[in-house]
Amino acid sequence: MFSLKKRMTWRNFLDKVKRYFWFSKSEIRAFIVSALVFAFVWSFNNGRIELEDLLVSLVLVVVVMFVHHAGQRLWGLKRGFRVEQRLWWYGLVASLILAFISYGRIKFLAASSTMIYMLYGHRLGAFRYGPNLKEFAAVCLAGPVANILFGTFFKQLANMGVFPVFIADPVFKLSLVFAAWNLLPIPPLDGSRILYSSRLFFAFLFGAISSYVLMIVFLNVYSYVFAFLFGVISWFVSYVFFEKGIS
Amino acid sequence: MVEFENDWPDIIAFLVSLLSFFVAIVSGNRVFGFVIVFLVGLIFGRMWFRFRSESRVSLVIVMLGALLGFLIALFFNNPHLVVILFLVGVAFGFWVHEKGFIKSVEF
Repeated sequence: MFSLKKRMTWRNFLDKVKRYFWFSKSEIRAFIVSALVFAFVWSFNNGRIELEDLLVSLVLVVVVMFVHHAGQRLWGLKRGFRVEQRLWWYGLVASLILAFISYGRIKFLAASSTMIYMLYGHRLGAFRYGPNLKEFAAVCLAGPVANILFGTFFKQLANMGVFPVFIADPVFKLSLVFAAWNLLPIPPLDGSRILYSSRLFFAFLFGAISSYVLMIVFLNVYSYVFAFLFGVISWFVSYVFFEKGIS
Repeated sequence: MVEFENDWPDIIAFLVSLLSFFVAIVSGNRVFGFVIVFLVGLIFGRMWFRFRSESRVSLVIVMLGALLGFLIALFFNNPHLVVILFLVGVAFGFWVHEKGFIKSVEF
């Protein structure tokens, strides 16, 4: 049973979602351009591309990108911010250049930047509210986390036999790749915002997610527990070698 | 004696020319090389838009460096096409931003 306060909060959240969740025209344009480029890059293998692969990739990329952006938007609205995603032109062109140079082996899929704006009318009465690095990093992190959870969810459904593997596997792979690239500490990607907020947390996150991906690729092991442990090790190593003694 | 503070556009142009030469050589395929020339033009088009209210002399030097690298790498294919594609890339990249079709971020 929800308390009155919680019910009001839930209603408030739904109201914010109705008003501010959807994309603006320029965001939709950027989304479409990014999706087309990423679909091309994802389906470009050994210097070749096939129409069927391109269409399947387009659907996958649209779904994964939407999950990423929606995750950030929902978390932002929950924390009282309107979230805006913008295109990163250099990243978009770099993804094409890397694909052509490597004949499709390098699939760089990161070309969006996130910005948060305060929803002043919705946070009256809260204590010391406003945009800050911590909130910004949390909103940025919500995208890759949403991707990983989404991909893992479908993978687990496929493992249980209730969802076709031929759909779940590409969704899972693309979600992980998309999340991993976006967590690179290159401005204006999500990883850079997290790094600015906390170097140690970024070390933890980088260790956890990279180990999660590497375990899947090389050992075919899916384990959040081991990923967490590797994240803690990465955090500790970063603390001992880089942070200790810095005042 | 080269001083970075004064000669940075030339130094960066030299590095960019090496990079563009390397990229065009690594691409292997002639068609991919031309596509990459166009794509690099798109990047410089964005920069041309970014520096629209400032002096673009430094940017022109860096662009010439990039173009030189591509020309050396693709000299025996079609140097005229390299120049045309590069300029078309710059113009298209600038136009897309100037008209407001794309709103992209710097950092």
